[in-house]
Amino acid sequence: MRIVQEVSIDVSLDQLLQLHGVDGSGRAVKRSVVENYRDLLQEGLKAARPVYGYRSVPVVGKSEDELLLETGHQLASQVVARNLAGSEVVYLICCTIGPVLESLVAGYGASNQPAKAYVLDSVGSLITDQLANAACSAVDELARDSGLLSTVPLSPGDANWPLAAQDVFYDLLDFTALGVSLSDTHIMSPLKSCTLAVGVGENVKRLHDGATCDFCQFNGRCNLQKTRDTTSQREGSRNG
Amino acid sequence: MAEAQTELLKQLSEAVVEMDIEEVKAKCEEAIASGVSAPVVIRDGLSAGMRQVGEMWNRMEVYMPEVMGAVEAYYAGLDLMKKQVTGDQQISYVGTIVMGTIWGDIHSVGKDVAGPVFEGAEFKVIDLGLDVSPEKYIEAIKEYKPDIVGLGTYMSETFLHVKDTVDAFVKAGVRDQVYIVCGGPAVDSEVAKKMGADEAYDDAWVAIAGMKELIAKRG
Repeated sequence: MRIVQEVSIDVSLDQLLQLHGVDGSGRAVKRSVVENYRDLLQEGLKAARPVYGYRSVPVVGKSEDELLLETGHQLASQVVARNLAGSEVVYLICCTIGPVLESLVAGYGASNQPAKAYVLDSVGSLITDQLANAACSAVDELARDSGLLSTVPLSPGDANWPLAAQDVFYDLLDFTALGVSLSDTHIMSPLKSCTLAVGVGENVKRLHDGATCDFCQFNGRCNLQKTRDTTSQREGSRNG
Repeated sequence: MAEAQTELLKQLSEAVVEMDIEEVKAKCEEAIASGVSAPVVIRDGLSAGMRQVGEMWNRMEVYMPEVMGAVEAYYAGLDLMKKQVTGDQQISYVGTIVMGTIWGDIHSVGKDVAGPVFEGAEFKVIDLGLDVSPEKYIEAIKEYKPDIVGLGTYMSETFLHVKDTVDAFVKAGVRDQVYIVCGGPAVDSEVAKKMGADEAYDDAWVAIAGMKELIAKRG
């Protein structure tokens, strides 16, 4: 497994506010509230230790319901078989932002400051989302460098891919080296962690078009999606 | 209650809406000094402010960050006032909720924000914490005799644990003593009912209205 620690994370105050429904089109939010959000954003960015690990595993077989990996593991799900179809290898990725932010959230919760806990938790979600996107972009780049294409990323829990599939990631990646553990019910700890599978090959069917939201149960009612739009707009204006 | 005291409580509720922590603390202390009992300060000052925030939320007049600010202010006052409640004073509640994050799930933040919102709506809240087993819920039902049991589920997979939990309640003979409501971003009312629960809510204020209806139904 290769571990990547140098990940640039750039969560903005606008994105954090947008995640909580403030899109800038309506009235302004009280200054003291915005300042509170700014402080918590800084606290969260300082506390986060973004890191991801990944490895590629050749695909040796497929059916309508699963992909069979060279290691003998199966990615058993129709959504995986369909969307990673044509992959020659699957990149398995595990991302985490470490335990510190989560302990700060718990501290606020324990000291009767649930609002601060909630906002800081949201900062953690945004950082994790950016980290996951960075990891997927790195795989996209590896694929491109080899003249290959990459698929949309999928995570256990997406579109009826059972959470039990976390066991495959646990077996094939070194969670301990990343500081991640898995509960009996397949919940990752730290909570701000995620796993992703990306297919790479010459003839993949479902290209990575950034549309991971298509597979999420919250699609269409999730503010995280809007903050991603903000990110791409900002990147667009930087590049332009 | 004297007019000045009523005015003080009104100012306190406004301070909650305005998310002004220092003003909330000051008005709480003024209200106590003027002879208002702590339970009344909580009910007619702090909780009244949270109710107003809830109404504004339902009318889409406040943003989530402002709700969070109001929750902070509410809690700052509540911390002070709970210390002032004496043995002979009783806080009146519209109902009691035993709530927790369902077994297998360790997400806490949604529950931790819903708790004070429910308290602000004058529910007594007993928080059982995270990864709560059916047995722990059953013990709490026997001990606290709640009107409502809240099953917090934050992932679609752990939402399905509702069925096991309800089945355990039935087996223990406590199912009919409580209303079971599910809460969290992944819940669905129809599915919750199929699993044996009474309702499901993904919004704390919608939950308050719904839970009050359930309690009223029981009479």
